[in-house]
Amino acid sequence: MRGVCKTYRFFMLNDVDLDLPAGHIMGFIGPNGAGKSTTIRILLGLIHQDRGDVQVLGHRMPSEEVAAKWDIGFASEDMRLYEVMTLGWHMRFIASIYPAWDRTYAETLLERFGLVPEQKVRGLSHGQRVKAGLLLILARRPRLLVLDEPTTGLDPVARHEILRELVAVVRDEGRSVLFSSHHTQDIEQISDQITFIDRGRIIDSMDKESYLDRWRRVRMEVPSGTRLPTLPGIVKLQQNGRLAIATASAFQPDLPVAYESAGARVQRIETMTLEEIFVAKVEQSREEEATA
Amino acid sequence: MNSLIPALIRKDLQMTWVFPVLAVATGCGALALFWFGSQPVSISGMVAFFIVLVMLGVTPNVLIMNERKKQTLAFVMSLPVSGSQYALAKLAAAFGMFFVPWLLLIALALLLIVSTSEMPNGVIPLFFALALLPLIGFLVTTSVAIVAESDTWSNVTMGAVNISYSFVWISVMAVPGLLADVGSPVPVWNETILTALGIEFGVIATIFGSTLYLQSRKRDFI
Repeated sequence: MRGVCKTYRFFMLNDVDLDLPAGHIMGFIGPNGAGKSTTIRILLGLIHQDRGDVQVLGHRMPSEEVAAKWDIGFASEDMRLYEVMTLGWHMRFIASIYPAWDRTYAETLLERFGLVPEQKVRGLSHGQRVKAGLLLILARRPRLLVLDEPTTGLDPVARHEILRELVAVVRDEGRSVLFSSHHTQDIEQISDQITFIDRGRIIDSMDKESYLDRWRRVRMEVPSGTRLPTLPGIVKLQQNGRLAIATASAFQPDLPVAYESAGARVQRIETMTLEEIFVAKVEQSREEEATA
Repeated sequence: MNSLIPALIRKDLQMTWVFPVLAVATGCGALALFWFGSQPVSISGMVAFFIVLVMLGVTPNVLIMNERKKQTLAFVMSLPVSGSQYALAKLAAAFGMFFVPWLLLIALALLLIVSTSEMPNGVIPLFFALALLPLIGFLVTTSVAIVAESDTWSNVTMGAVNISYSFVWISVMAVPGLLADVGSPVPVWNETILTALGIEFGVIATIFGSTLYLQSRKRDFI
């Protein structure tokens, strides 16, 4: 995606750039209403962008959406199957469309997910419906999986089962996955690339290891009257009495040294979870937006 | 790759075949009343027959609205299909749901008219012109359901179309040329009848064309 814009009455997707290399799993994280679903629907050609270029698997979108969708498996939290029909009917329907439908794999997934093909969708629990939806897209072996909040509303066991299956699927290196969620734990488990989106803008995008390596929280004790300097790579500096916490987005070993030179005593350097990094990044982005 | 339109049509027909079957059964019952009943019962049968034709036009509309209401639209649109292809498939499936039973019932009714000596065959052109009205009503409601994607607009259109039948039928019956030859022992396709049929077929073609055109210009499908 390059420079993609889409304007609604109360929301704007602004200049979105997004790259997903083949064989990678990208976690697409954003708060509710950030623009994740709009971005994904533009990617699938379901919503047409006002400006910008979108290419998916070598196809220009939305003009070549039909050709692109042969190789895309899409599941979203608000997607439903036909309630009055059985899972087996859905499987036959999808198999009749996709020549690459893998019957053996479908049966393996049926067993692994504990699903019964004769059961009507109406009688399935939410978790079973999500699993059924995933079965229908995984067994057709798409080159790109686009999952829009697939684990929302699932119990921990069902979430674990689904994530485990996704990890297994992407062992095939030719397959790419775009996984949107606000469950950062899920994304941290399976993704190798992370993109943050907030208020219709991509606020950061890089590989997961870089995020986890670069972000640190430095806890310090500061003598009264000492004012800590603003150092490069620090996105937030909170000072409360004698205690200070600096959040670094580009942590370097000389950072604690610089603070100690300024009079602080570094107590601890902590790694940050993806959720903490995400929250810090969103806050930083919103502050920058407010001051701009 | 092949177009998915036939698969989508088959899917819709598999899920909704019971409605047209019920309509044909009810329509046959109405025709039986018309055929075997005394005069008041016979008139009731004729009225019931036209009600079945009108109701036949409403059921496919529900099929389209349900796709959005029951959130299955995202599932269909995730398949290799464009918005225009989806509309064409929906229109074709809805048309099939309406047209096959409609044609069957019209054919049965015509057979009854031809085989009875009590009703002159001159009524056939008028019957045909009147029977096309539910087809137009069906196309209007179906097109609005596809294009507007709104329950409110669909329901308002459905209500307006159903209410308008009585006015339209009364207006049509008031056209002198349409009734001129109903007493004739053979069907007479006079100029007024042919003009009325021409207008009806023109309206049908316009609705089809404008639905596909408007759908192809849509930018957001979900």
